[in-house]
Amino acid sequence: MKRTYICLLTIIGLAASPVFAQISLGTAQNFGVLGGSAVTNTGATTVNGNVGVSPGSSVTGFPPGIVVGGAIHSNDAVAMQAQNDLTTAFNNIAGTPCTVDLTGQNLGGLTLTPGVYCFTSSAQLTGALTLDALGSPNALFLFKMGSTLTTSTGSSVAMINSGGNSCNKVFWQVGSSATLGTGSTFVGDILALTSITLTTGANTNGRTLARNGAVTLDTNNVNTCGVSVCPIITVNPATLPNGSVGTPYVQVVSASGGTPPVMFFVSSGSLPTGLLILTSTGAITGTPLTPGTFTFTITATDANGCTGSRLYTITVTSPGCPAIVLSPTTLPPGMSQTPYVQTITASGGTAPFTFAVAAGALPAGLSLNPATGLISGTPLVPGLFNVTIRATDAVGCQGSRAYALVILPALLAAGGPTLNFVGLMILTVLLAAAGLFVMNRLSI
Amino acid sequence: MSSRQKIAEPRPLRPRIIFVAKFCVAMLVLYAVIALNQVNDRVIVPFTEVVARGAAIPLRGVEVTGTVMRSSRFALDVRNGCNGVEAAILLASAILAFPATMRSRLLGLTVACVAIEALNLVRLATLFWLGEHYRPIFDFVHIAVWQSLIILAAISIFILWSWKFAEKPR
Repeated sequence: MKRTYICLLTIIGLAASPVFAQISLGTAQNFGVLGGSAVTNTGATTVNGNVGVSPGSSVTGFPPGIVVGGAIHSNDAVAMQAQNDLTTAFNNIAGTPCTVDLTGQNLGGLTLTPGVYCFTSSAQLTGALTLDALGSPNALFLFKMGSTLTTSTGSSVAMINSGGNSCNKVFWQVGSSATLGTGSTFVGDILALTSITLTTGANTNGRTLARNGAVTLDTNNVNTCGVSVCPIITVNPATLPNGSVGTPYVQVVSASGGTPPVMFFVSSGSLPTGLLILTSTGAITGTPLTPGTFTFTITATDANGCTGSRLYTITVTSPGCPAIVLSPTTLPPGMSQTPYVQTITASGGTAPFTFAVAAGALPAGLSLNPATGLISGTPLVPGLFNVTIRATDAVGCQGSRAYALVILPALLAAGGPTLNFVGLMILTVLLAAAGLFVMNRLSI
Repeated sequence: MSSRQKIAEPRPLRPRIIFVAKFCVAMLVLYAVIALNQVNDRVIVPFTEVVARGAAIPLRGVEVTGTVMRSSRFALDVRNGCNGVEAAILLASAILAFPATMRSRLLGLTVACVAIEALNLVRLATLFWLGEHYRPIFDFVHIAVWQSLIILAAISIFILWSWKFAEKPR
């Protein structure tokens, strides 16, 4: 008997009670990517909005990743506040009652209307999920899952009848971790308790916000709508003059690009002993009390909470010491697993000079030759490394410079063989066959 | 039986066996030569550095350090095996083994090696560009497309050369 199998692409329209409300992310809404322990990127990822991490501090892979309309916040006040707001939003969503229980149901092939959809444990998307906003500008889709959210390779989430605006309409509250499969297209903000992983080529129209774990990216586009983009606030001047023990010091830092009034504060490091910064004017005043090299960051915050900062180093010399200047002013970027060589030189004092790391640390794998100032070695890991190099001349006078050394990610690709083993075997056989063919045709 | 009937003359086996044997021997010898540390260090690696520099010429914002091509967005290490030498050796072995005059062989070797290396430069440049701009298809082009093109080019070069310069029996 002939049996006919009819394959049905089942589109389920689940009639949930429409939800027309709003979820507030607070300051987390300005983040395209927010991690708890780390943010790691590989490849040419583009993030629209801020990239931040807190309470961890590791943000790697930018570049080659780029941040558009935002900045990188590594466990600073902005990232901390965003994490607090994320926790609030996460808990608010968690407390919203479910309208439909989809436990055990694969989201692939479904068409859903606004509502609160719950999964007791994990949620899986294989294929296409359609979200029908029913033409409402306030439509809201909340997805709550007890554990993981996983999308398969090439799966997609699309919104229809939204008037072309899917911003802030979809939220995924994930009880543990979320993973978007290779090449997935996703819509909505992911609020995960633990980690979020976007595998190669996964793109999302929404934020990826992880509370405790890492956000891992690999050649993705994270498009964050509704971001209130801060202007670029520049703290000036680029450098501050050095000081001398016992000599009054006055210098004013200013900010451009923000909305007045702008407040100034030292966000990391410390001013030389005896100096203070006036938050309302940016004036650094006082009399240095102790010699040494002091590296610190001054952050300017404008009326809208937007920030800009600059790293400074002030060397306070003992009375009678000349200014010792280190060159170059910046270090060229290196690449992990690739030999790096750069020489630091000093001028202005009495030779010979000795060199040392005064603050921070060189990347693992690099070392500084105290006698020559040669930085050499093979950096092992990528990242941004803030290090201050100090030169001491023959009579003990010191000068230093702060460097931000960027180590680019490990080689993203080996050139790969022109022909791999299989290719070589194929070419060998074909060449032999071609030779025999020609010999046959020419009766050799 | 008619005397007009011709008996098909069997094709001599010996030249074919000699060709295949010479091909294998030449291939093994050349591979053994490039496997020597001194040859690798003094010839292959410097040559690979030249290849990396050559491949970077048409690309903007690409720095070359040793065998590493890198930009702000992508980096490529042109390692042994990526320099086209193995493919050129195979083609050269076939040309050396094929019955032809020494002059023809030298001409064939020159044209074949230059063509394969030129094609490999284009390969590396396009792969780097793809790596910068279209990472998702990098592996596909790298493994499927360019290998096929290299094989096709090598076979085409060999057939054209052997057809034109084969030393026919007197």
